[in-house]
Amino acid sequence: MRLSTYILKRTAFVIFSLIGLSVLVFVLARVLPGDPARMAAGPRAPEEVVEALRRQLRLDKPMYEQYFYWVTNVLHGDLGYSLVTRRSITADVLEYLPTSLELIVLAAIFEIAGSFILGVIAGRYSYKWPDNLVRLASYIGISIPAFVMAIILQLLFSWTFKIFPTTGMLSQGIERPPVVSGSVALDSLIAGRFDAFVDVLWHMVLPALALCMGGLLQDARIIRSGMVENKDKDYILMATSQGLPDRTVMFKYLLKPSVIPAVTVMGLDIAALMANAFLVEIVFSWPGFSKLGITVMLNKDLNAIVALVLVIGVIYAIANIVVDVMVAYLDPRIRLMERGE
Amino acid sequence: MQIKESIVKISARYDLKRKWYRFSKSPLSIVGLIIAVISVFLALAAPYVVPYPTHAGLVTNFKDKFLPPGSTYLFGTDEIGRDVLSRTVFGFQYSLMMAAVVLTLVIPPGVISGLIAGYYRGTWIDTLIMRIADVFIAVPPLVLALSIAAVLTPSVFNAMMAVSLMWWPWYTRLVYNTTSALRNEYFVQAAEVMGASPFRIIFGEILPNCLGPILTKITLDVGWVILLGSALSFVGLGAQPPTPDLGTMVASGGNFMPDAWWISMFPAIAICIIILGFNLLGDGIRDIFVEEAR
Amino acid sequence: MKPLLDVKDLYVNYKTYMGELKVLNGVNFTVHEGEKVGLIGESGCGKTTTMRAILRTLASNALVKGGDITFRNSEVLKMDKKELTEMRRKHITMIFQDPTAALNPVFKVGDLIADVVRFSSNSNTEKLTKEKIRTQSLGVLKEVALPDPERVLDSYPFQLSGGMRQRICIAMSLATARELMIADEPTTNLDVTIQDQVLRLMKDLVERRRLSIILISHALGTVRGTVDKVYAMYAGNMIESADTEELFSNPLHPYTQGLLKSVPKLTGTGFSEGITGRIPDYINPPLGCRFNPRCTHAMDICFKEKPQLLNVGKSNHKVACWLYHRR
Repeated sequence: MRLSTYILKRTAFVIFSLIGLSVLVFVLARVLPGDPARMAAGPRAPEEVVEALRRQLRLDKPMYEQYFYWVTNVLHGDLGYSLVTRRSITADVLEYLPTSLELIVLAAIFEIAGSFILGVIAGRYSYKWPDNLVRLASYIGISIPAFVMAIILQLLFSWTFKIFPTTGMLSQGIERPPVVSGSVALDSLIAGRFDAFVDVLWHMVLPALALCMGGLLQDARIIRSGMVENKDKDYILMATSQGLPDRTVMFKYLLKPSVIPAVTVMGLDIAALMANAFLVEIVFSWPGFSKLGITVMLNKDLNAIVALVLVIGVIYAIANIVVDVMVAYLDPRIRLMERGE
Repeated sequence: MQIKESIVKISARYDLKRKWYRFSKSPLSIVGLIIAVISVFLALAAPYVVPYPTHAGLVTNFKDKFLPPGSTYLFGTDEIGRDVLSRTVFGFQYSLMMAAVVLTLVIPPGVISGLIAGYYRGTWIDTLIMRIADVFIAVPPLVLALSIAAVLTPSVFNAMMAVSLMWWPWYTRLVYNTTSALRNEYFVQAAEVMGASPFRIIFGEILPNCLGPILTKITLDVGWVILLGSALSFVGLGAQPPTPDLGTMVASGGNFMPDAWWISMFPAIAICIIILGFNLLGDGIRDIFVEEAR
Repeated sequence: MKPLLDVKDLYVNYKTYMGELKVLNGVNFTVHEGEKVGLIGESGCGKTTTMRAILRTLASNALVKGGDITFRNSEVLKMDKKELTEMRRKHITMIFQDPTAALNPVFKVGDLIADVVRFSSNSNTEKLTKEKIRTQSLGVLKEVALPDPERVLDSYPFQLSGGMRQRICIAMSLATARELMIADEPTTNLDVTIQDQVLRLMKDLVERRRLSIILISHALGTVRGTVDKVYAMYAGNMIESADTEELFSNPLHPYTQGLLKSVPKLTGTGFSEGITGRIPDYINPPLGCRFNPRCTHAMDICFKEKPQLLNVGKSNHKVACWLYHRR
């Protein structure tokens, strides 16, 4: 099938999954013990207030009606009302999500570039010391959870060596540029504020590194394995026998098939990035959706929880589609062969 | 060629001695095994091996608070004066218990649904099971776990429930893939022709051949579940203070960084070592089964 | 007439964790311009190793322990990177046994051929445009009688049949080869019906372009119908060489005799007994003539000294056996 058909199929599938997901979380939030209206109103509020709140939240209506109402709202861009922040959830999301996203994007860039470089070096010098170093590092790196990595990096490079700032997004004295996209880095560029841009970037380095390190090392190992495995394949031998320059053989003929398994894993990597952002932000006091999420979760703000999960699910789904498309583009066998062949 | 491969697959299943021989050839795998065994031992024997078993519970010892690692308290003390070493070892107990409970809950439904979906591949049973599984896989694991834990009251038990609820589909998917591949092998078809019931085929023929990937995944998952559990506690959704859970300890110790670094660092390192051990072990197990497939 | 390719006393070992495999034990091998040479021998006797040594694409654990390879008056083993690349691009080409493995699966056929064309173009000054490359690619595809070459260029290797893939490999070699084509079991992996087609195609091209060819094969029948001269190889040595018909009708070396007798005949007494024993352990190969454990005619000297590949009498027929070269 052609590339466009493939994309359509994947998108349809993903939308279906998201619908299922929203139903799941929705039902879960309402089925489990605990009275959300009571919890929002507080233990000392009088019964009438709680009752009014319950009616306002439509908690007295049957489940499917609640769901239907909620879905229509979502499709209009209204994610509901947060009982904790007392604001529209959409507003909350728009305020806190972009800052998290810019961190995740930087982490993704680090991860792709880093894994490539390390993987190719390890593959090129396989079984010699660069390779052994990378493999050892990858074993250790995979075992360190992101929040532990965050603490270690903070301890080393922030507290001890004082290279990077410890917490926060901007240094004192540097004002945040006017909000256009919500992402401070982008906004700085738009406003022409290079001082803010550099400052934000500097603050982002450690958290982004903490986020991507595990995935980076894992991907490097996958790329390295791919290269070592493919190095002895006949098609590489043929390319060399044909007199193609070493550069071409290594970076075109060897690299492309070796990188494909790593790209396939990238979907999961993005999930890890998004999930770990939650934890890493806490360590670095980065004002992203973790701030929103933690408050909301500890306070049982159901609407917000459901909305958050949905938003993250959508972003993740889009990222997955992009990754799948990339894999299909790189490896024609996947898109052109029927499933189960 | 295929028939020969099928026969090799059946006979290789029960060759434990050979598998052990190959396993023992890889030093990293042995290291993993040692770490795993020590972790389990510590988890089981915690109250009997630590110097200050009471510090794991409700105890205050303010005169000894914030002591750096020294001779009396090998890992130092925390803000209430409790021995970090003892609490860390107890933390092993919680982590491994969580892994044990979650995996026990998750594996049977996950594996069985995967087997059934794979065996009846292409029918509505397959679609139904896999679509449900796909829903769970559509969201990053940690986020899903967090949200499920969030709607429940924070506690160790609920954290375990949350993780279990979102973990089973990964087993379904793994077993589904393996079963689908094995479905069309000659030895399965032979059993069908001989009139064996689907139950017999699924559990007698297919399941033993899935053991390799399943065992590997179980071992690696111990690390992942512990990671997930400690992440939940770190955020505050798992074990509550004063329970000595590794994640909680890292979180509360974070307030005292960088001066009293030992309060966070030792539990953090403990988490890493456990995960490393089970990762190495899992890799070793995967290697011995991969050899068979060739 | 000076030979095009001359391999003299080539010794190649492979380093493995169990020890050194002393595979090539003084190989002597010559190809003249325009000559069609066949190379027969069982799996593991060193045929492919010899060929890879000629192109210097041996595996990383291979060591050349001695000998010379001369190609067009240049010492191959002493060539620097530039000369080596030049030789691979413009003078020698190799076709592999498994065409599926030889074509990079993630690139279109057109891309693969374009690379070969681009890097082996005759004039280094002339910049090749995309159209020129495409025209040339289509040209070579047509030469190998591939139907619908436009579609082939835009396809991926796995979308084509085995026979077509091998033709593509041959086509790629035509974009480069000027003097010598090495074909390592080119038809072994193909369907029997296709084998004949591909072989005839190769013969035709070799004649038309006046290439020299080294054809390696298990299949004695294939070799017999295609080449002028045949070398027989065993355990790292060339043990016999002669004109094709002479070798097949009058094999001298006991191994060659056994080999030819092993081919089941349609008429006659059915299956033969083959040759008892197996190829030697290369870590500790037998001293003297490596065939001595399996040879029914083995004499004392066979266990002590290795026989050289020498002419028998005045003919072109060479054999490396103490039966014919008394001391």
